[in-house]
Amino acid sequence: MITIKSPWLWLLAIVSLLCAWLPLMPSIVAFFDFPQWLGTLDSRLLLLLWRSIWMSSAAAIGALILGWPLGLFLGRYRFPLRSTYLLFLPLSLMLPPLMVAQAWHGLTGMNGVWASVFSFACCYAPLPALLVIRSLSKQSSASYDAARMVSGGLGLRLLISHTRSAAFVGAAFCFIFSIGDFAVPDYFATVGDLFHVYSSEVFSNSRNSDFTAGAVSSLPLIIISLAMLLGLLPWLKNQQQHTSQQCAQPHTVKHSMSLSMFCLGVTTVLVFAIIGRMYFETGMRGPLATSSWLQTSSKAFADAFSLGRSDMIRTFQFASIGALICMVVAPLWAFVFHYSSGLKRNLLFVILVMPMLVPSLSLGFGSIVVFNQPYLDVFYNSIWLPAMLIAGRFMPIAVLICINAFGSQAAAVDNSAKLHGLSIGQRVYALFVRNNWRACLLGGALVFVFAMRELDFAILLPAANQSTAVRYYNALHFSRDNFVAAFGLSICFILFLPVMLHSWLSKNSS
Amino acid sequence: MSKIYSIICILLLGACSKPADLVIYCSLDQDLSEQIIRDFEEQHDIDINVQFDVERNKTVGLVSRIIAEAKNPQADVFWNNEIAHTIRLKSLGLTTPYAPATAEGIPAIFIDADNHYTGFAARARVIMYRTDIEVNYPKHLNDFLNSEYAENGVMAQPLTGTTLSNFAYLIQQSSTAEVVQWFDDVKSAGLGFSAGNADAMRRVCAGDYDWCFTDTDDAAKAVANGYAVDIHYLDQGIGKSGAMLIPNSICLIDGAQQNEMAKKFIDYVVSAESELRLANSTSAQIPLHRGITMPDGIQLPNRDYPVLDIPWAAVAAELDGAASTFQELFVR
Repeated sequence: MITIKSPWLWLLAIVSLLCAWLPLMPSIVAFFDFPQWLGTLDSRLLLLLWRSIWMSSAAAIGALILGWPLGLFLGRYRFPLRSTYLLFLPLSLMLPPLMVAQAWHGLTGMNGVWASVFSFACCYAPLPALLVIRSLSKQSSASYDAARMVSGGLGLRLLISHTRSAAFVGAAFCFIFSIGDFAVPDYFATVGDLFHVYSSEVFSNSRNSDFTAGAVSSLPLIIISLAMLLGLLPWLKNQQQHTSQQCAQPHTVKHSMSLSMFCLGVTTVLVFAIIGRMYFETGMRGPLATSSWLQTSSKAFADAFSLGRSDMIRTFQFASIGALICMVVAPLWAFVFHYSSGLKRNLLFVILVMPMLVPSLSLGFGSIVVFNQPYLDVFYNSIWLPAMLIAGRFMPIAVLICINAFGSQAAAVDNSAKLHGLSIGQRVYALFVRNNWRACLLGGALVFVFAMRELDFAILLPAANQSTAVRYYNALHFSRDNFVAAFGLSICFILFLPVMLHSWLSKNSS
Repeated sequence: MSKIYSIICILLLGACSKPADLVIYCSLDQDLSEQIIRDFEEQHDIDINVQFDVERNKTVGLVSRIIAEAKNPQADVFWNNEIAHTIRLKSLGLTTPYAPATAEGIPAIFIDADNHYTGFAARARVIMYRTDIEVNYPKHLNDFLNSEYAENGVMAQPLTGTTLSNFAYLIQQSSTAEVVQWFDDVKSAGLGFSAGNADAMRRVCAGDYDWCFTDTDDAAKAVANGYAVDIHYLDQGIGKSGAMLIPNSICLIDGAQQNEMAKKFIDYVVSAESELRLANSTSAQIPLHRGITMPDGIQLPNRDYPVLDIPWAAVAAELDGAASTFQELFVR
């Protein structure tokens, strides 16, 4: 039982209030206009909403179809090139969804509603895959080996049952991110038949001087996403049944080549095809151009490096601080969830996820309203503000991963620590984080990646304006397609470099 | 563990910064304006904090930010890539008068009577058409209604940017009902719609359409990228012939009256030299100073083609209403 006297709970409350709830307050106030807004609901808005729901659901199913088997195979079996696929898997998360859309349109000429669904599925398929792999790393060796000995089918059923909560969490995130995104549908609408989604309406309303109209019209999306996440909570709790200190290891199978080919196919769809097309676009030019492909491409990369260098450094700074805050606070949140139940647990969950579900434009304007005060000028102009907002907005991602990991920690260990008089801090940081540092790191890394892609409040907050997202979208608007492709690839490469180095060094050291 | 502490220390050190001497909010494309601003920074040895806007995601952008920051203004200068929203800021009392000496030679129609803003370096609304094939493109806005033209053309939805300003002007000249009817008719005639001007331009470059209704800067970019296209200054006149010219505008934000560097910056940007730099850039912005030597490929307004006298203050007053009307019409 956690008491209100615990200083750790106070820390959690203060960080959540500062990072998430203060900037959210103006939007919350706007929500009281919801009954009045409901009066404006007409068939046009309902059609937009319905289209958004089914498209995001289809994208989530697509992400599940691509990501779940990929995660299962990579997490449980050994086969040729497995480590290469594992290495490249997170890369597609680092690609802006709009770039994925442009690449696939360039490759296939696809357009319309289903092209949007496909792009979203490709963008977010790594989420279920990564969460499934992480979940498999905690699977009980004894139960899995016993099931395999009985029959291969039983082993597979156990794998599916063990990983389904992780896979559904990943798919739910795909749904939430897809339903709030309008750049991708907007793009596919312009290259084919025109159509719109509900988030276009939210953004159009936010464009008026009164941002509260955007906040209130986003409520249907918030409610839908919230219901989806609340529905996931029992799944996360269910994960606790499958725990063991002896974890199952990846093993070889008969049809290893087939598995490798399957993973190659999916990784090509998620990563290689997109990277290849982007690289081609760095040198793309019109028929009357006098420079060669190589010259155009080289210039694009040179521009990307010289113009975008300082933006990258600045973005790294506030994204890293945001991710670090999440890595420190998320385990505490997970601990609080672990020891709460029923209504209290659901309320805490609403408090946690609300900042992620509100459009980031509303959060950005909320920050201006709350923090743009004469006595806070230094703070308002510092990178602490975007770092805090990033932590507040993307904290739920890190927390859900930690909740999932917390379930896999043997209850006896924590109970024993409690009986020995260890404080909450010691139990969370000395026991849980030490045993689950990979989960904390994955949470922090995902927060970092989403922070790098955040555009809307980057435009609104002084210290975040000089960021990679602003430069990227600015160049995109100005049709600097070569630069956009080169800059996007450079960002991916730099983000990906530590992953590659880590993988290479671990191989050498082993 | 010490490595982690070192990383945290580096991040914290990086988080500290001193306040800038001049804060500029700039909605002109970053790759056009950035070097001009950095050159000023270097010339005066000051630290400039420049904040850019992005049109791609239809964000509310810097205008809304200036409005939201009204109680504690952060910007000294707002360099807007169009004029209607600057007038909105003036009407909200968020700008302050300043008459740059370097504006001499710019026609009075582009300068606010109370000196709250100055227009310079314009874009024209044009038809960009392919030259690698024979193209039948419209010469007047009313030609869009003819399916012979419309079926091969594309334009941006009038939800944002210069296209919104363009059709807010048409609403101001006629009525909302007439403009809505016009859109219904051009849709029926087969005209295509895209998310933005740059998208429309790209689709013509890709060969999906023969012509598009866009801005001169987008067309100039297509030419620079090696596509076989040319432009025609579209007549939009009702009664009197003329193309629509949309200038950049610059203003001093209320609260920055004492910032001499802000005034110097406005002088610098409005000058004929800066206009020429923008004219020679890939966006080929049209200089407004009289007597300026036009770079090759840029035609002179009112000499090479007629230009409409736009009542910008009245157009600015129509913007919000026009945006709502077009949102209902197009966001479906």
